[in-house]
Amino acid sequence: MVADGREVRSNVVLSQDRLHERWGGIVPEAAARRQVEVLNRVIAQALDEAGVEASELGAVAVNNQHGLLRSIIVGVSAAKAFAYTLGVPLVGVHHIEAHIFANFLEDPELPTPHVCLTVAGGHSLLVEVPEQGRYELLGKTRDDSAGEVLDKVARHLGLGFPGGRRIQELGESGDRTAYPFPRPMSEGDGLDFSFSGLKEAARRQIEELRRRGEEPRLEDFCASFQWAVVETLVRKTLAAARRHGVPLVTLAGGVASNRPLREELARRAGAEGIEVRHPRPKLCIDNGAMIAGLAFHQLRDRGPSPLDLGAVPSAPIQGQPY
Amino acid sequence: MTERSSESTAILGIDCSSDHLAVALAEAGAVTAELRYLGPRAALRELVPALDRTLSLRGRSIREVDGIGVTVGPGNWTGLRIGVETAKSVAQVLDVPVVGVPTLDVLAMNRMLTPSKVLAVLRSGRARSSALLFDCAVERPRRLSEPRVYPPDELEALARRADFVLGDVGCLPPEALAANGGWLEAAPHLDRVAPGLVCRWAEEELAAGTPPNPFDLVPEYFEGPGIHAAEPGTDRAASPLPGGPA
Repeated sequence: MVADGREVRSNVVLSQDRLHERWGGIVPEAAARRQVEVLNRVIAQALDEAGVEASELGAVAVNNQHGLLRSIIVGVSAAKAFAYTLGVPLVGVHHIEAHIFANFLEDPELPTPHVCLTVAGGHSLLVEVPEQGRYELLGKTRDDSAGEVLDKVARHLGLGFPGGRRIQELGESGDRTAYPFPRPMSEGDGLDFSFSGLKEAARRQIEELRRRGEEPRLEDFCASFQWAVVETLVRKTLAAARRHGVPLVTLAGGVASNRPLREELARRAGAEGIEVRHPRPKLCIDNGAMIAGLAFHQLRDRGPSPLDLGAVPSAPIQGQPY
Repeated sequence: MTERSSESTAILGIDCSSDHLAVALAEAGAVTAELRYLGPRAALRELVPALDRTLSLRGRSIREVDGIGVTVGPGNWTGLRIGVETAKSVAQVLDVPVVGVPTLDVLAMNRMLTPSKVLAVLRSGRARSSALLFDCAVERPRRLSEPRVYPPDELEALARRADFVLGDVGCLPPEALAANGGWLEAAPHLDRVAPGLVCRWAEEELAAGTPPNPFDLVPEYFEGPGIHAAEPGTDRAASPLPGGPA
């Protein structure tokens, strides 16, 4: 529950990590089944923590663009029923836009223009935000996203789910120079991301070691691999800021709470006089507050969504495919 | 929750368990509006407009609804979720009860009070169907088998015990209809869940006692989620009409 697009009154997140762990990854059908079980209780808790009745709501917002189709359908079904029964506007928002917006939820006075690096929902993208609610796509994922390669390499290493977090935890104490990895597409001028080569390099190294009867030293391997991802993201992000003459960089999405990424970006940006900001972790992960917050502004600027709203697993941001 | 007199009790019935979408309204114990959507768009898009249209036919508002019946399965997984999640959410706002109605049982009610054994069949995914054999000589069809999902060849044995088959009869191989010489009644409406009967089922349940907590209502899938575990990116293709983007 968010008031006036800026005040987070409650933000209830029920993680499905344990469910995904049991299935060894995200099984869309299992996720959607769980969501029907829990969604109405989560809504009740969010209202309760905010101290409001459903009848006091001014609008109901839902992520209907981008994500697992079966899961979006559960959310859209609930949101429409709430909006229709309460007689208030329905607002369907874009998942990635909501992640970018989380920076404005963290600080409503956040200056523009800025460049935002979003790593979320199977995508890595760079956008320029000339003003709140407008996005210019600068760079996008060409193949595997940063999150995907972390998960896949974690699987090669037998680390389970969620792979990104396991790699980060193991890498904490490792030597990031122990294993050599390429820095994909960091030489060219383009701002697109391509991580499939890095993923292949990791797979080849693991296989080569196993052929010799060895196992990778997990801490060092994770530290080195993660460092290659971090450096690539940092280089592209700063190149974007430099090219567009923007003095501020923001982070968005689950990976924005990755400590090595935040620290390295802050260090390198600081050396160039570029400021770095990111939302607190609870606003970086997938959460309801960013959806509600963005919806307030979208409702004011673009009006409500119709009650025959559909679900779109992959939608462009303001006409720009990513 | 405000007190409402029993004469004006309004019950909504919802069925999204197959490739159509149907809504009904019962007032004071009689079905007063039934709508069926057979257009090309997904149930996700059309369900709430269908509720509004059905209520409008009777000059009613959603806020006047006293209870909801919704088919919980078996049936199309995504469709069941749309119906159940919508019903739960309306019920949460209005603080009214929701009754989960078993799909095959309410389908068999299309043939109730006929002295016959009826097999109700619903398509449940690629090459699989759920089915139940009923004794329909009574007001509420009595189960003669357990609901489960069958491959086509196993359905045949069950079909041979039936006098009538209804539902997605196309799921059955022709030889499975041998019991009555391959003849079926030519009344297509009998092959669909009647949303008015969903209302009636819910009314009876509500009259009989305290309904379960709406928060606990979930679809009944009769199969685990893992059998069609989609590879990343294929989730779209795996979703048939009721959930598909339209």
